[in-house]
Amino acid sequence: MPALHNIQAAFMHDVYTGEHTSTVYLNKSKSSSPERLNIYYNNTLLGLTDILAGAYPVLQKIVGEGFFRTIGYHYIEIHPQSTGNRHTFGAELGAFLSSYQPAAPWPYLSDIAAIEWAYFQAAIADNALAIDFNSLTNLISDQPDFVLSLHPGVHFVDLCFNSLEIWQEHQKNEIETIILCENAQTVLIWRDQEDVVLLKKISASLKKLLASCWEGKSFAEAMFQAGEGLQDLQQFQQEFAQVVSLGVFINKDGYQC
Amino acid sequence: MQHQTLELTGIGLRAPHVQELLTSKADVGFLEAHSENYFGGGQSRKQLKQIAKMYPVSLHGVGLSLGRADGLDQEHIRQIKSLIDEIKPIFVSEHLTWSAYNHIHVPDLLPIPFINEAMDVFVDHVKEFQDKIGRQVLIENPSNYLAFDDLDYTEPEFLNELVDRSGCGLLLDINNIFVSAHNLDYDPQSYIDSILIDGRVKQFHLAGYQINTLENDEKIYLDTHGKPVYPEVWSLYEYALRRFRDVQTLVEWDIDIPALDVLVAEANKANVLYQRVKEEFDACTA
Repeated sequence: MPALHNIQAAFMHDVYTGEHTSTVYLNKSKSSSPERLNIYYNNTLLGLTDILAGAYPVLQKIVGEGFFRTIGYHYIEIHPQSTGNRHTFGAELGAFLSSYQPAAPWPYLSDIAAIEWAYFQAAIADNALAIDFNSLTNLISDQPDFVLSLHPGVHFVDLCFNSLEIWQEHQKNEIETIILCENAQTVLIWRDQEDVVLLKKISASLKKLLASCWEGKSFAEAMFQAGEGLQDLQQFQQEFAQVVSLGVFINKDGYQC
Repeated sequence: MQHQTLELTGIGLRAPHVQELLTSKADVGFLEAHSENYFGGGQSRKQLKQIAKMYPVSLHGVGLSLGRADGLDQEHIRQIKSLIDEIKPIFVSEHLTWSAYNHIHVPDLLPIPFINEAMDVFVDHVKEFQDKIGRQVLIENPSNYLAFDDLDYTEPEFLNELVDRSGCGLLLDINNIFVSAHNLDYDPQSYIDSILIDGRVKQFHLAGYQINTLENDEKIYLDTHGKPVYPEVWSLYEYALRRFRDVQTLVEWDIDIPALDVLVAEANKANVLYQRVKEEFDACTA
């Protein structure tokens, strides 16, 4: 009898490709026909495309269920599920779509995928306690080198088109036509303390601040980075105050699980 | 508490029913949540914590892959442990299957070849998992669509030895026994008769299946959890109740999910059967 490793390697190959290499390990009766092996192959394809559909509802709405499943099948060939946590499957779909020729008529699909993945991940990220203004003010005065941590649900997404507008339109039951235009912008996506996922266009300066915080730089250094090329200090202060109040930052030890 | 929940059948916790279950207490023994649906944080995890304050909850895993030939995913175990610590479930269960090998996973429950090597792997993994979560795990028999060659055990033999060597309990899915028995041509009652009666069976599962015709005209039963429990499965359930007696039951419904009251009514059918068998035994022993 071959080792369990060999059986599982062959079976896993078959459930992803639809081939029947593992039939050599199966009982020779009718109860181990290739058609039965196909049940597991079909379950794998359907299961994984269902997971993608759960994470990318707007993408599916835009291209239609049939083409969405075709995209899914091609994606799965290159990006098999890599953990037992289904919430992690589909992370590379945005990048995949950027070079997926059949999706060329929809150049903004990568943007939509990036928004949806960030939205999905924000919704299920670990819980964490947001930092309040008083604590932040104390930290600024007492510990100039402190690192301001981002909530684990925070994502900032760079878009090439007016894709946020398209995504928002597709949240409605009756969708109006949006004229596609190139429009580079950064969108901040995060979950607030009430567990509502929020989306907000942000300035280049705030993006620099968030990126520095994400890299673990001190708050002073992050502010210095954000200040480079800053044109409207008052507007930046208002923007920063707003995201603080909406739970984008947490205490250093604020993780809850 | 434990006595009450035994006499009332549980139902699978599904997203469309969460608000209703939180708004008014449903007449069910317990709720079973799929562990992986609640990894991380956010609204659904918060709701599960609220649910756990109102109902006994059991956690049922679908992605750990205890039967994999390579090592268990430690991050996956950490996530389940975190959930167990927070929810304090009445049971933790997994499957007699595998779904991962060499960093590739599938969202399905793949069949184990019942050979000595698979037994050693499964025993080691169950022991490791139980050590890390600090409690017993129940192992559920899967629905099978094919059989391997040159086996050292039948499925019931495999389950019995697994319990003896690892200290796990059993979750007998009656629908899976019926489905596998049809697909692999064995007697489902003999399967049940082969499982030892010493308290190792802690829970039953009931669900609906679907009949499909393959390209070679074979009729195959698929464990889809998308229909009411079939009459033949109710009969087999009654047979299992008579053998194992005081065992908690759960009704699952995962696709084409009906209204909550339909699912509760299905669970009540199990309650009625449970009571009838119990009263017959009580009358005999009085």
